[in-house]
Amino acid sequence: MLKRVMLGVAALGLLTGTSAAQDNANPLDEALPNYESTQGVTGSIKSMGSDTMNNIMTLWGELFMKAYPGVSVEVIGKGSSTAPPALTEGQAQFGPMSREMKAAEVDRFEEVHGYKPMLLRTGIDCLAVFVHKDCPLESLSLDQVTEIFSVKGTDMTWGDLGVKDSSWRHQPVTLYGRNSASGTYGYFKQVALGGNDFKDTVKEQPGSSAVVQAVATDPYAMGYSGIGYATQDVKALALSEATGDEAFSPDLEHAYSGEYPLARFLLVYINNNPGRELEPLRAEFIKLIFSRQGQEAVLKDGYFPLPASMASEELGNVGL
Amino acid sequence: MPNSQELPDRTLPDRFRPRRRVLLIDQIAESVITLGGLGVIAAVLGIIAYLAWVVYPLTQPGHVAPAGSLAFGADSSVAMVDEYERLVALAGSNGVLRAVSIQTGDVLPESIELGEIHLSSYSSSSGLLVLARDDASIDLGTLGFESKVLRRKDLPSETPELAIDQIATLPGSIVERTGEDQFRQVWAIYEEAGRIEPPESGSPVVALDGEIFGRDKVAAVVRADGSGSVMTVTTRRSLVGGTSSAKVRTLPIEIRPNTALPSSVVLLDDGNELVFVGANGNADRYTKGSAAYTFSETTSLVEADQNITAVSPLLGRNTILIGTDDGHVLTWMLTRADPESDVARSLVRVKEFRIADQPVTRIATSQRDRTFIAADAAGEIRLWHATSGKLVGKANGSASLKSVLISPKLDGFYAIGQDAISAWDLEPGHPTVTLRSLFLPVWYEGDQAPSLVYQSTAADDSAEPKLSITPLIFGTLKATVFAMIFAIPIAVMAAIYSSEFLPKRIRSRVKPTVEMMASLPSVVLGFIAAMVLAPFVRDHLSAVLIGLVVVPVAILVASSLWPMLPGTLAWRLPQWVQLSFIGLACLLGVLLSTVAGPMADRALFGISQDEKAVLAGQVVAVEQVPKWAEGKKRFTLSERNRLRSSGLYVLDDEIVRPAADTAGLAVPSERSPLKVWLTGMVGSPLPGWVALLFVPSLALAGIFTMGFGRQSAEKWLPLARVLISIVLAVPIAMILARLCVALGWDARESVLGTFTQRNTFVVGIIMGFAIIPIIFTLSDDAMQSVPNSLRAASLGAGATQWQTTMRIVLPVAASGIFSAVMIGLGRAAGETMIVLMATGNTPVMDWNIFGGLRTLSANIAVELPEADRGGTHYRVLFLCGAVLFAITFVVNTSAEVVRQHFRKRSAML
Repeated sequence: MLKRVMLGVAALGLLTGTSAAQDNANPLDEALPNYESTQGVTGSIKSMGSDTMNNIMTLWGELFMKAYPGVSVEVIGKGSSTAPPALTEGQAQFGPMSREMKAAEVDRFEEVHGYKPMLLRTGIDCLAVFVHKDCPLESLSLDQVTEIFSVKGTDMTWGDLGVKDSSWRHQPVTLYGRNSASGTYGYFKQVALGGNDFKDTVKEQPGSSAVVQAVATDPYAMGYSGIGYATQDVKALALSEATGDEAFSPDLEHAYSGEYPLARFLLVYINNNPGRELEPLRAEFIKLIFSRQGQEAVLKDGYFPLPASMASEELGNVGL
Repeated sequence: MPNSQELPDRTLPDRFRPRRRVLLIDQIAESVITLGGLGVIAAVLGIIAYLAWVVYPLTQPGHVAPAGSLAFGADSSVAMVDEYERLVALAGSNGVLRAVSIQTGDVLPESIELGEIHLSSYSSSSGLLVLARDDASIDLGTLGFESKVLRRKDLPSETPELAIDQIATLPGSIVERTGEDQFRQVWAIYEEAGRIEPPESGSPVVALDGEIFGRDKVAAVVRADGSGSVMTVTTRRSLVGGTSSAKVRTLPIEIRPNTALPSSVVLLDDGNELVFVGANGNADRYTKGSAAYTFSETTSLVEADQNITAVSPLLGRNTILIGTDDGHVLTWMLTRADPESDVARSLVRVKEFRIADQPVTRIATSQRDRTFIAADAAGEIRLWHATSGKLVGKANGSASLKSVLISPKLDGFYAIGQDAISAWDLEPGHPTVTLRSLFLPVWYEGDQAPSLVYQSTAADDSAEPKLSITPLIFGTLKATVFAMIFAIPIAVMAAIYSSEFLPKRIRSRVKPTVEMMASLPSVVLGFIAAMVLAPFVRDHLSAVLIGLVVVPVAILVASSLWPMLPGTLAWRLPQWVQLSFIGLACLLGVLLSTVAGPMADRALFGISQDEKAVLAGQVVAVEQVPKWAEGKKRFTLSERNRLRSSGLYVLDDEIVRPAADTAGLAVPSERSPLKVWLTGMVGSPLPGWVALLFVPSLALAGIFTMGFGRQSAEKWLPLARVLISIVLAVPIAMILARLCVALGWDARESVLGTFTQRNTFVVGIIMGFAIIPIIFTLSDDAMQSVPNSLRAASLGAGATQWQTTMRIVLPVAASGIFSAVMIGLGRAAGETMIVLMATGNTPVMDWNIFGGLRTLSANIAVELPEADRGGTHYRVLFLCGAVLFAITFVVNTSAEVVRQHFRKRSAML
């Protein structure tokens, strides 16, 4: 399932990579529609789910509240696994997730509602491997990442990764990651580690920002989280598929082209009854997500926006 | 009004009789208090009951109920059921796939033509169908069900009017009006995906297997002429444009000459491994190379008197299930190569399940988890979970079953006979865990041996959840033990000092201040630990460690210097001056530590020129390797120590000798050789033992010197005792350390190990701080409650204040101090935020003080918000809560029991 999403990103690159590469100054697709507010939108919106997507949901919420002062938007981001139960039980209208729903979660939703939850791809994230800003290491291959983080490899020092600097050479690599129930953890395990178990020495932090903070305070640390959490104290490594291949940094160009191996979609699940139209409140919020303003917010949060063609395709999927 | 009736003596004057109002208040108070007490008991019992209620289903097997049967069957080589359990589709050797509605029994009018089938392989989890034709060609395709919820206006025109829960059979599909008043259409679909043309020889296919791994469709084929090949069709499908492209690669299998043809082949590990299962019970494993699959190993899968009757891969394709003719199902698993111990990957036998004595005829697997279904010749059906070994369900079908099936959602199973299909409903419960698997080692896929692992994954269904809570219990104990080692001496000694030696005036200020420490929120302490203390300890490890010895010694020296003040000055000066003097000594001790730390670090753990050369890679290869080390790649710590004693080192898995000429080598000096030593790469075990054993040696020496000059009252005696103890401690520590080394022990294998920034040491200090106030206060109270008459008697009989404290006050107050310690222990065991923030939450199982841990409480805090409500993981987290509850309950109750026991004794005083 995850591989399919990745593949989507790669294929997306074939279509849009060229246009993105031409215009790096403004990565936002010109063709994205401008969002215009309409009448008759009231009520409150609640979103529950991914920690990775917490900020971006909040940004969209703020935009939406600006457009409709009567509407309140509440965003809770405790982890991807909180989204499916919240959607199923109707506690939230939007469920941002950094992984796809598991079969058991879809089942429970379907048991209650009779149809499957709907998936919207709202932006692109590069899952980044961070090191301290002073660390001399610049790039890794996925094979090395597997050896560093998973039980497939032994405990490593920075020297094993090719760092020559004497103060790093003999220091063991301290590993930080997300807690084992998070979507980012699952995605990283599946795609970056090839399904191998994490080493039990990977320190699990309760949130993405905690991972980045830990890496920022520990010069010998390495950790992973969404690119949106990058700060000036950490450095995102360039990654290559296999040792010897060219490594690509996690930026817009390589996310679009699919060359950065850990590019993935930012997902939002909704409860979309196929037998009915979406009510204006949710319809307008979704329109906002796929508008120029909404995608600008994606960019502002450190993630990468969708091309207009994909935005309109996603809107088409929900009948907007 | 029983109380007023119990006051019969009307003779009492009115003024002695309690007023009515007072009696009323008294009674109300009594009932409120009783109610409150009962409420507390009820609440605790309620919590226990609730925890038990949530946890109990984990221990239960699944529930099976017969769901009727259908008069429909076939000699089915392909059988499948859709996820809503509405349709069963079967294809016989004529290649006609017919679907039947399970609820109505109607056969769908239209069928799918697959073409005649010589041999087939169908993977229910991915839907890949591989068909061998009679002309020896092979077709690949995907076969499965699709469904859609339709609006009323989008329904096919031939749909009749439907009531709720009614099903209409249409050509090629069914439409159901569901309980939610939606229209759902379900149909079977087959899509061709590739074709292998027959070889020139036209040799027929004898065995084949196919599976989808990621975006690769892989089919393995073995032909009668002893040739074999693996075809991979890689599809790239664009999500945006809807275009797709396929790439086909074919690799030959270099089948060992002179081997019998396999009866079945199984693709494993993403198609990188291929196992030939022979009729004789042998398995040949072939591994994917760049140009061909080549032979790797051969194994006998069954005992000499057993025959293989059924073969099936388990979900995730790392395990093969083998059915035998004496009623057993064996699981054979492909292990990973182990880089640590240099063991190559191989097939190993893991578990054995037994139905009865009849041959196992059919095995099928779930698409959801590692549950499988097996049926024997007598029609006995069993469902087991392959990893946990749990019996999920059992049923009795008819003999001569053609196939068995587990529904996609693992909520039902089917037995397909020649002319009837029997169905059962299944509530699988929690197949992945048993009480055994929660606490004892479990053999997981890929591992070399059973292990205790906590790794609750969320990636996808083919990943195994590993839910052993033993590492969490261990982590809780580890954090508690190190916190107590730090907290007990400080808290109890501080309490003794404040209760017995400190003037009342100062004590009345000190005690509330310490108690204020308890009001610091633990999340703040955790934050300090993670953001301030952890980086500080990392940068100044040696200074912090030596400070733990130097500062107490400095206090000892200062307090033994104090009586040496001239004349009676020591007695006349106010006590705060003495306190400031000792405070000054503390400060000096800290300063001394910052200087002495790095010095001691270099002196003890300093890296020799040879070792520097090794670390810098200035080495030469060794021709004469000791015999025991020949061919070895990975060395344990004790083996490295053994090598080092003959001047050899291990670098990058090679045994090397430092280059001869290292004198002019510019090797940068390490800032903290201790951290390099801790990694185990260099250095002998000796200095570690010296450092570890110094404090016990100091205590030992202190006991020796205590008797020194007992009768004399010279002022310099205390100082002399302290200094002599320190001097004595060094050789004692050296001797003990040498003893440990001689015994072949290395502390780096137990309490010491590689330094990580978020570690148990930091947790111990900060959690110690969190529990010091409570232990201090309770101990202080316990000693204060010792009757002053006892002290007065002791002092009056000529005992010193110290003797009074040690021999009179402490024994009487021991029960109180003990319960204070136990309550502190309970608090430490349940502490959440500090361990959550200050450790890496790594569920490891070692005592390394510089390594991480994960406690039960932190685990609950981290994972509960993300757990699937009512799911296995959710219930395991509640089990963590129950275990934690049990631990604190036992600790606190035993504290109370001990306290009560001693209180009775001291009440007699």
